This record gives sequence, C-alpha cells and structure tokens, in this order.
Amino acid sequence: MQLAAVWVAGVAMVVALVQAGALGGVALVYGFPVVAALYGAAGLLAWWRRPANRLGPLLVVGGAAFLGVSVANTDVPALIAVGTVTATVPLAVVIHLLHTFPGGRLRGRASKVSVLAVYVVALVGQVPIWAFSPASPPYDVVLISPRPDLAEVGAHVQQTCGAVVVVVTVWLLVRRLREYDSAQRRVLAPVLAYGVLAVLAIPLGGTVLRPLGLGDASLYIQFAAVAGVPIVFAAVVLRGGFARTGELSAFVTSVASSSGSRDELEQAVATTLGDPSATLLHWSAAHSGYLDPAGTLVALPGPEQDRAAVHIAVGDRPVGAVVYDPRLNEDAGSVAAVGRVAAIALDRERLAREVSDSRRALREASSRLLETADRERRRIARDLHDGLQVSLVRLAMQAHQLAQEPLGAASPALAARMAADVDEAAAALRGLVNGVMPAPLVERGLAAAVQELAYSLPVRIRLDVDGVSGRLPAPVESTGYFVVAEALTNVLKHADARSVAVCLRTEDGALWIDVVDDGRGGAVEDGSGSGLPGLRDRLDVLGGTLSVTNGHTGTRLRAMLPCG
Amino acid sequence: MLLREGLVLLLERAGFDVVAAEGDADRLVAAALRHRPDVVITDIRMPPGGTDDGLRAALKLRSRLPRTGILVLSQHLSRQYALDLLAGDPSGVGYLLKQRVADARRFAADIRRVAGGETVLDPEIAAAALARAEQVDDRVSRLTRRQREVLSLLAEGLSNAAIAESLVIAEKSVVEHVSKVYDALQLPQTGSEHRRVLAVLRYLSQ
Repeated sequence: MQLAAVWVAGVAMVVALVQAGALGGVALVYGFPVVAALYGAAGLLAWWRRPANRLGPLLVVGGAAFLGVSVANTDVPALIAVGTVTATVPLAVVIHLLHTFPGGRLRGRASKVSVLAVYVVALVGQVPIWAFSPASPPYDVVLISPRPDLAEVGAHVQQTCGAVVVVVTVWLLVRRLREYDSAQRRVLAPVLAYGVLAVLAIPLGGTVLRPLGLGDASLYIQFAAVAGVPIVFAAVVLRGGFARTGELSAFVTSVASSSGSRDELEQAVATTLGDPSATLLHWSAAHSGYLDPAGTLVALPGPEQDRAAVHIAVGDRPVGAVVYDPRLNEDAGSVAAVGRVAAIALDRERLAREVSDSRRALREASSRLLETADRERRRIARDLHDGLQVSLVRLAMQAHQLAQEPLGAASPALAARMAADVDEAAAALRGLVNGVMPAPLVERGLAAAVQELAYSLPVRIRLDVDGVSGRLPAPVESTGYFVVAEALTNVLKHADARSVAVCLRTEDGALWIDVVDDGRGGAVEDGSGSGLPGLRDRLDVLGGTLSVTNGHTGTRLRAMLPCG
Repeated sequence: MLLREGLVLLLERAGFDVVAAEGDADRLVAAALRHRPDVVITDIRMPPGGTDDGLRAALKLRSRLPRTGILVLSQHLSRQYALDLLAGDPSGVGYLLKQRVADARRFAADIRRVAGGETVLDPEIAAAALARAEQVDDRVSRLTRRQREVLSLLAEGLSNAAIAESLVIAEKSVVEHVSKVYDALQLPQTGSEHRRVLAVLRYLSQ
C-alpha cells in the first residue's frame, strides 16, 4: 500500500512538473508518465499477488525508468539531465522483462550476459548522443560540444549493438519456448512476440511507421505497444495456472539437477510457491506421522489455522506433506502440483538413503559373517589339534610299543586299549563333523536334521515339522538348522524351561521357524552368551528376519527365510 | 571304494560268499533283486545322489525282499533312520557305525544275526537314547541300574538269551527284569522278541 501511495504521488508530481510546450509535443510529454503509471500499477499488482515472482518488482522498475525519461520534459536542469541520460533505459528494462518471463528470474548465462549488455548499450551507448547532439537551453545541460557527426556515429553504434542484443534475445526466447508443452507455447509465444515487437516499435517507429503516412498516429501506436507490455505480462503471470506451470518446469529442472538433499528440495519448493515459510515434511511409516527435516514428529495445521497443508504421495503411498501459507497460494491444486514433483524427489532421497543404509548393513553383516566363519575355522583346527592329533600320537606310541615288544601276556590288553582309543577318537571326530555339518541335514534335509537334534537334547521338545515340504535350498536348510540349534541351546542354557515347542513350516515361498518355551523369558539379544546376533547376520544375508519376544512365561523366537 | 574292497576281502575271509559288490544305490537294488542274497550291506550316503540313497535302497529292498537281511552302515548314527528301518517288520535289520567293521569277528557275528532274522542296532544308538530318556523321563530315571542295562540291551535288539549272556545272569532273571521294565514304562506287549526293540526305541525317543 505504501509503495502504491509513493508511486501515485511520484507520477502526480511528474505530471505537474512536465511542461506541455516541451520538445516532443503533448503526446510525448504526457505519454511517458501515463505509461510509467501503467507499469507501476501492473507491477505492484503482480508483486502483491505473486511475491515470489520478480516480474512485479521488475515492472515497477520499468515504470520508474519511464518516469525517469519523462522528467526530461521539465524545466529543472537536474531532472532534464536524468531524463536525457536514461532516455533508452526503459527499452533495456523491457528486454530484461522478456528474459525473465514468465518465471521472473534470469535463467542461464546467456540471458544474464544479454541483459547486462542491454543496460550497457542503453546507458553507455547513449553517451555520445547526449554529449554531442546539439540542443537548445534548457535541454543542453549535459551537452559537451555540438558535434552532430559524432552524435550520429554514436547513434549508429548504439543501434547496431541494440539490434544484436535483440537478435540474441529472440534466439534465446525461441530456444526456451521448446521447454514448454504446446498448450503453454500457445500462450507464451504470442506474448513474447508481442514483447519483442513492442521493443522494436520504439527505434523502428520513426523509420517504418512514419513513411506509411501515419504521421503523429505512429507515436500513439508506439506508446500503446509499449504500454500494453506490463498489462499483458502481468495478466499472464496473474492468471496463475500458466505461470505456475512455468515455475513448475523450472522447479522440475532444479530438482532434477540438485544433489537431492532435503534442504535443497525444501528451498526449491519455497521458491516455487513464492512462500519462504513453506516447509516440506516427510511421512514416517514407523511413527505413523510427519517428520520435519530435523526428524521431529510434527502435527499438520488444522483448518482454522493460517497455515495449510497438502499431502503428497507416490501412487497410494504417502511420502510427505507441504505446509504453506494459504494467503500466498490460494489454489491448493497448484501447491499439490509442486508437491507431486517434490514427492518424487523426496521418495528418491528416501530410496537412496535406504539403499545406502542397507548396503552398509549388508557390508557389516558380511564382515561379521567372515569373522564368524574364521572363528569357526580356528575352533575346528584347535579341536582337531587338541583332540584327534593327540589321540593319533597316543595310538602311534601304543602301536610302536606293540611292535617293539615281544608278544607277551600284556599284548592283547594293549591292543584292546588301542581299539577302544580308536573308537573314542572316531567318536570325537564324528561329533566334530556333526557340529560343523550334521549328516541328516545333508542326507535328508532340515526336518530330519531338526528331528535328530531334538533326540539328542535333554529336554522334551514338541516338534512339528510336517509343514516342511521336500528339500529346501542348501543355505536355507543349514541356516534354518542353526537357528533352531541356537534357539534350543539358549533355551537349555538360560530359560529353565520344562518344555519347548519347535514348529517348522514352508508357506508363501518362505521357511518359518517358531521356537517357543515355557521358561523364564527375558532372552537377551545383545548378550555375549547368545548367538542371536550371528544368526541375524546369517538371516540378513538370505533376506530373512528374526524376532524374539519375551513374555512372562517364556520366550518366542520366530525366524523367516525366503526360499526363492 | 576302499572300504568296499576291504569289506569284500574281510567277508570272504570270514567265510561269506560275496555275490556282488556295487558302487551305487541303483545298481545295488538291481543286483540284490537278481541275486536275492541272505544279507545286503549298504552305506547310507551313496551315489548317485550322495544323500540318503543307500538308506532309500535299503527301505526299498525291505519291502521287495522281506527274507533278505539288510545291514546299513553309516559314518554317523541317526535315531530317525533306525526307527525308519525298523518300522513295520524289524526282523533281519541291522544298523551299525561304519567303524564296527574293524572288529571283524563281532562284525561277522552281527551279519549272521541279521541274516538269521535278528535285529542289530549299534550300542551307541541305545546308549544315547537311554541317556536322554534318563534326563527327561522320570519313569526311566527311576529304573534300577540292572533294569537300565537290560533296557539298553533291549534297545540294541538282543534276545533274552543274548542279554543273559551279555550280563552273565540267568535267562530267567532276564525275563523278570524285562517284565519289570515293561511294567515300569507301560510298554505295549509285543509278543515277539523281534518287535520289542522298536517299542523300546520308540518309547525312548518320545
């Protein structure tokens, strides 16, 4: 409001100051302030309704430029100087507008260079014209020396440079049009073409329109062309849908090229919506709620609050929500459109995080498995060395004794002891082999091996293995076996249980293992005495899961192993 | 391979007539059906499958050749295999650790028992079953030492006479002990010495 008041006062002051008898006649003298007023009004409206879009402020700047030019028609020397020096700046502003349309931002290096060049052409290129063009008082305040020849050369240089910038601008705009779909192009292309023509209308007006015999009317046509620019541009931006789509395509580009971080995405959403307060929440299935970027659970704003939220999803799966200021974006549909793009990006970030998390977890599990396998090898080596090796040495000694001594009364007893020792060594070796890979597991599969295991443990086990059909893949069988073995070992060690139930079944392409005891409960998972973490690693590698629930009466262990 | 050749030598030296020696379970079944021998001796893990092919061949021959004794040898003893082998008619079945071959005299005697329709189970099966039963079953742990010795020998498939010989007691005492064990464990009366090994082993495997 204050800006609008300042604007009205400025225009009114200029209108009061300008003199009807000045150089260009009435049309020029009052035409400039009127155009300036239109630019300002359209700019302020656009600025108010689309705070994120810089088109509004830029239109206001354009208005200021026209106002600046119009003060050349006063009798105040300083104002005359300003007007004379900035005579072609409004044209530069219009070109600047073309480059930023419709998103309100300069995009790309070529656009930035062109806009810089056009301001240089407008301000620097104008220097020879005001410095050397003959003028009568009071309009000669900036005249250095009346050298029409130099002024003419300067004007040529400026026109040529200006023409180059316009050509580059047209080329850039045509190229940019390709980014939009055909419906958008149908709106954008005429608007931009009109803008270019309006720019050209001013320098070419005199040379093209006047020879057509239009006389002074050509001046009004020029003014009308230039004055229409803010109205048309602001209208297109305010129409919303189209401007949003333009912003949306810029948003898509920025999201696609971003590193994918949440902060960056939230920033892009805020910019696109023109709402710096907009935040991006992500859905957490674990919490059944929305988390802010810091990971805190937050409630969505209710209907009576001055914040609004739009849920975003990929397919049917909730991904998050955009919380925004409904005064800045009345149309929830356009926020949802931004949200849909953000959802994909948010989901991509989640997937990337999940992939990297699971990759790390797998790497850690594999490394733990390697350690376990290594430890197991050491144990086997030690057992062989301490057991079988010692037995063999003892047997060798007995054999030598038998060989060196003459056969006597002690010989049969020694031979019998040797036979017993061999049996003992063989039994130890059998035990060791069975611990590493039980024979029934290899020969008849999981159900038979678990059955056999149950026979060997000093506890009553209710066994239900009828649900296992046929042989399963070897890794599934051995992992399943070790899950049962470890669970039963824990029951025997800690649970003080009277009975245990073991149930194995294959269902939906997976092996399910339940081990339930009626003991003390409270099986600890992280304790060094428990082999559960090792089991978890083995299961992880096969894509299985393990859960241990402790009740007041006993522990229930459930494992799932995909059989595919 | 090495064991098969050694076994052939051992059996011939012990007076057996070896009619065939085959390297895989399928050929074993074919040869047994052709020769109809008194006893077939097989390993459990055999080609072509390398899993329990020998055991499956043994079970197949049990139903096809009821008069042929089957002696199964294995690196490792499984109570379930024993129960499977004994299921139905337990006569003429043997299941021993492979290393029992070393005691040639006893091994030859075991073969003759199997050929004669007796049941021969490796003492380790009975011992392991009894050891566990003592821990989980009050009725077993309440048996006297002598009764447990008898129970163990019952589980090995020994006849009353053989138990008497093994424990160096009178056969009449064995009958008494067996009857007390049956009462204590509430075992079903089988009527035949052959069948009681299965009843005992089933009871101990509960």
